Amino acid sequence: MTHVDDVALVRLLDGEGTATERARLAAHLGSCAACEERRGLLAEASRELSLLLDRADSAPPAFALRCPPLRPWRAWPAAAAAVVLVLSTVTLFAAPVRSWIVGRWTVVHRLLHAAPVLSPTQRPGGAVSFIPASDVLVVRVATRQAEGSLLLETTATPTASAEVRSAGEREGLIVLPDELRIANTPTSRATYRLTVPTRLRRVVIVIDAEPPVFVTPALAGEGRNLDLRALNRP
Amino acid sequence: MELEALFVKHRDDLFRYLARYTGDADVAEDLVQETFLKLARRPFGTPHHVKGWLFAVATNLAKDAHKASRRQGELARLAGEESSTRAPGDPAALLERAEVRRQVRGALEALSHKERTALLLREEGFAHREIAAVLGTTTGSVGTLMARGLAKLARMLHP
Repeated sequence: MTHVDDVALVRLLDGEGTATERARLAAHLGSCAACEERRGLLAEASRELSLLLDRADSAPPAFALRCPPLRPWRAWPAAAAAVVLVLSTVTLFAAPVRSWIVGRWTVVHRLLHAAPVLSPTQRPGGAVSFIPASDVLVVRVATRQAEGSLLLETTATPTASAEVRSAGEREGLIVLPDELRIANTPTSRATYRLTVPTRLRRVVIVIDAEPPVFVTPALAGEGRNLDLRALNRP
Repeated sequence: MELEALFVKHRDDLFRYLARYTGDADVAEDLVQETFLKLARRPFGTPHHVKGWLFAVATNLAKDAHKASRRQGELARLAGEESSTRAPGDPAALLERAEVRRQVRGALEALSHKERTALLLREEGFAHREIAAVLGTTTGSVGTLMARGLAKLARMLHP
């Protein structure tokens, strides 16, 4: 006689499987003392676990939804940021400071919005894998394009990956320590697939000069699609 | 459903599950808050199967918290302290509960993360396919995990 395994017995205990499957197992247990004994042991362990857990449970506290308190190591940067914010606001009113900042910003803005240049080692299209250096990853898309989208997915692994699909000759991926640059053009029609680890605290997606989109990865296997087509398309 | 309403609906179940997993009611309460914070910041809106999503996120958080707790060697101490700090009452009853908790902790510590998760989610009334979704595995593997976990418990409780 072929005995049933413990997995089938657990499924029977939990009412899983089809009615036919359960009836077949029940018939076997009626004629097999060894399997019936194993079923009894599993059922007893299950009952005992439930009983012990119930006896050990604390009454749920009456707690309300709240923002979690800042941990000490997070509170210091927050305090420092507040001080910097106040000082910045004050100094911005001083004309020399303001003109100096405007001058610097012009340089930075030009750098940020310069046409993306592919590194000599980076071939257009294809796929890349990398481990982000910190818990925030910036994804910078050079421009909106004729067609296509950016598909963002999450993974439990520590490695991020990016891939250009239906690539033409003018799209490419550039990996920096905390940044992925998608080098495209307004005529591009490619779709980009980006997989980011759930360990990241934040993914910041910047398309051209638009306001950034913030994404907080939580659970592996989730996905979000960002349309990259030009906003004023017909 | 609004975040507050979801919190009220799932708070106690999540707390019980997390307290059982971590063995620490204070940690469980923090993890419930963190789970809902993740829901509030979720960029994809409220998930279709919100209960499964909450328990899956809570499981990941509990696993990390449990690891950290084990590293510090505090789990047993916290389990002991918890009964005296959170639950005022009859000293004899507290002592008995502390003893039961030690027994439960000992039993659950002998299980792997997946075995423990599968059995605790089963206690919360999750079906095998729902547990499989939380653990990112198949229903067949869930059956294996439960059978192995129950067999270990049977050996531990009745050596």
